[in-house]
Amino acid sequence: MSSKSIISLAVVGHTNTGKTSLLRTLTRDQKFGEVSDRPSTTREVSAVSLLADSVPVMTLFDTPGLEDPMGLMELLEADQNTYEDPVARIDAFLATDHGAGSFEQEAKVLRQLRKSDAALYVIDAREPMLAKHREELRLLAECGRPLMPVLNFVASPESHPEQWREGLARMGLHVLADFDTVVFEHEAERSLFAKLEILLDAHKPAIQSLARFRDAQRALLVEAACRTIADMLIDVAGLRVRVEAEGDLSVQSQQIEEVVCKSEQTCVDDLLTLFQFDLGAFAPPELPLEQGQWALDPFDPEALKVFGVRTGSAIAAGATAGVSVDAMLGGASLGAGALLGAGAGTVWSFYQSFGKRWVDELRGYRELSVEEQTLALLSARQIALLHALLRRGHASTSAVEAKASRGWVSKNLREAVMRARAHPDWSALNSGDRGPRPDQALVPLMAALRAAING
Amino acid sequence: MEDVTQITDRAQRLYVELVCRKEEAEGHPAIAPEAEAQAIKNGGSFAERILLRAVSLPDAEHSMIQVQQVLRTGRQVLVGALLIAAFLGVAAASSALQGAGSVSLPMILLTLIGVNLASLVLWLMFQLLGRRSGGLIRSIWQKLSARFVDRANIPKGQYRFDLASVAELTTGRGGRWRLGVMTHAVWLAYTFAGLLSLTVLLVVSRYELSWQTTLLSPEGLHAWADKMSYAPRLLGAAGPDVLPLNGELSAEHRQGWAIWMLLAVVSYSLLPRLIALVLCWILAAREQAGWARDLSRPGFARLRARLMPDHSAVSVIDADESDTPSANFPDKGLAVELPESGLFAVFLERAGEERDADLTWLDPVEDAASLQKAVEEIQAGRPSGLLVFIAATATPDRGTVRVLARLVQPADVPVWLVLTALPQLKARGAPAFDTRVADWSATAQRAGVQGGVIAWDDRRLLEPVPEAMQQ
Repeated sequence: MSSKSIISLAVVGHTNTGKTSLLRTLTRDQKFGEVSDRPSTTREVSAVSLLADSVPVMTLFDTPGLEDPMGLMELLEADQNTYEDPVARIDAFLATDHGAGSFEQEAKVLRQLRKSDAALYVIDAREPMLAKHREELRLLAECGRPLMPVLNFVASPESHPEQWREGLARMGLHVLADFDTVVFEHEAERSLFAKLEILLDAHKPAIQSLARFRDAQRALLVEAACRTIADMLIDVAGLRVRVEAEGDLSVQSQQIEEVVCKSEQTCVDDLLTLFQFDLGAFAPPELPLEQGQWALDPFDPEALKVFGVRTGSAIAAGATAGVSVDAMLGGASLGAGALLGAGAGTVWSFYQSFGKRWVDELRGYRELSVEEQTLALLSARQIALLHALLRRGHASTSAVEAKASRGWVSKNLREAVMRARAHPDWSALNSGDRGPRPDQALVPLMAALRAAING
Repeated sequence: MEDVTQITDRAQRLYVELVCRKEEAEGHPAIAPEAEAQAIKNGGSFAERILLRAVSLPDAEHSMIQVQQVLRTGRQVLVGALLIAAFLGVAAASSALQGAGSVSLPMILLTLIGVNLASLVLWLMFQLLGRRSGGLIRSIWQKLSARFVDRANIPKGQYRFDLASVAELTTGRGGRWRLGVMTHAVWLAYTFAGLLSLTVLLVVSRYELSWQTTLLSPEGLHAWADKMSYAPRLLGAAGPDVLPLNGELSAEHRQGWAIWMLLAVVSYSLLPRLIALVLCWILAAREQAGWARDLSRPGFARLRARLMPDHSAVSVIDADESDTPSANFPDKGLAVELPESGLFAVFLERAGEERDADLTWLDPVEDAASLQKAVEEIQAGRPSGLLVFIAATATPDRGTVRVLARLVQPADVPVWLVLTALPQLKARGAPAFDTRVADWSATAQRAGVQGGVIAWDDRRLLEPVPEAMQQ
């Protein structure tokens, strides 16, 4: 794509309305610019391009906030010269010293808008529409570029988007987008691009390609996140730790707890990496993720209560009894069992299911595995986290809020996890092989997770 | 030493798979900005970028050569095994046909069919036992590689692509099918060489064939031979219903049994192996195609943001050259002494609607005209003090400073900035509250508001929290 066809959009608005936040969320970069609940945080114009398959499609210009539109209008109206049109008046202002430097910030905004194809006018929908906003819109309209208002913080109970819509309609601005930079909605982003297509008809194919790319990325992101969770659940469900039968169970339980906690933490890290969040930089949230870590470990009865899971011992001794013959045969292929006919497979299965356990017991060992309620908790927590991450804008600086579900999220999920529990051979924690988990483990679990996320 | 330009696609894909495994085990992808920049620059699909990144990693050439060597060695081992098997097949066929007097047909069948068929059934049993057999192989391999690492003085934690390649090829995705291909190929070589030798020997020499048995009765032998004849009959051979089992065999009968025997080897030994080989080959190829293509795996998915970036690098195109305004926080007492009468009050920017009856209210200031009117009323009214009400949730800006300064200038009396909507501001949290109050204090100071910032409900001066304490 040639540089000529790259859309340039100025992101403008009153100070502290979330212009940089909008860019953070659109770029999925929580380190973009500086964000604070104060005026004049952004004092320079920065450019960043949105890419589709590494090709720049749209360059967004983050601008300083407008702070004194009424003062600037007074200055412009005091100018005795006559101009061909309002745009010429703005150009004349930009050619001067900007009111002896008093309106330097405003000049930056207007200069950038004059060079851009259009502007997104970011509004803090929690504030009422005031005369200064109307003056700003008049000033920006004088730049001769299409303007699309973007209502930010619409998810806040303090917001009053209807008042803004009415006010903006009175000013002739009917095409506007709701886009909360903190509570992210993929649909809202898609709608923002669709409305930009109306505003920038000549760039419609480029905007559509960007929207398609983002849809595809989103779908892949969800898929990868489900896979991350599925891998962890398969590993933990099938985990077996062989310990001496005479040993102290509480000490032995710690071994398995450590492995499970580490596994879950790896899963959380992977999810945060996938979504490009760095929670370490944030203030500790209340519940349940602190500095990228769960506040309560999955063996803590309190954590189980929080997620509505029946409390009890989180360790099952001798769990290999749960390994069933049919599950064992599920791993066979080519219909070889029918060829054998003599029941050798059944004998082997029986040994694996029960005999091995008896042999271990005779030799003075027992096997520990993770109990169902802990698996339910792990599933619920990861799904809650994924839900939260899917709705988290990169401008958000608050805690991750994961809404606790009650027990198993679905019957299918329980079945898929419990099937993995019957298969220690599927768990990478037992074999050390970090290769792809078998399809018979992944397919039902992924389907259940997708349903839980979309449900 | 291998030439890196000779690296095959297969070796490359295996190498990428191993890089993924390594990075998954390490918990994060390697930091490789140059390799990633190269992948982004070249573009293409995510899979292509993953491949390019992997082959551009600092140690890639050395690692790929290790992988290539393993594959080459594997091929050499297979060729060697095939040659040995073929030799054994020839030897087995020759020895079965040797001996004084007549040649036992059951012995030939046992040599060229029995052993082969038994090993095939064993292999099928392994498949029935599923991945548990893979676990056995894996644990054997892990022990062997650990011993090798000890003997070779390889530092612990150092990733060896050659060892990992062998592990992946034998116990990884499709490992059992690859082992199946090798096993069946070896047996096929044995059977084919045996069959060929048998054919050649039967062509060039005359052998007295017989159905010799010690244990079986003539009826039992006939029944067994009849059952064995099922497949050869399908291929056109005559069976015991036509050919005699006992007594002196004529030249025609000898030829009939020789053909029967060759077709029995083909149908019971060669064909099953060939079918098993083709099946394993297809399954191995299908699994192998999955190498480095399962892009939702954490090892690959974590690279997506790096290799398929959502945005370009940020550049500043209009830098800030002005001085950042700094707030200077005065140390003020908490109590506010307001004049008992003659106080004027004005709302800025629709800061509220409830008007205290003790105050003289001016029209709200929103724009230039209302500001001018308020200024004129203050000049004319000569109040004892002026209270300017503004919503604490609003963001203080230069516009507010200018308006405040215009109101303060003509008043020539004490002016206080009164914050409304404090409960709403408090609802945003203590840090947000403190920051905003500090900002309003700084704004008031810049505008020349001498009285400071107050909360109207309790006539309390809002003391700004120094910035250092807000961190």
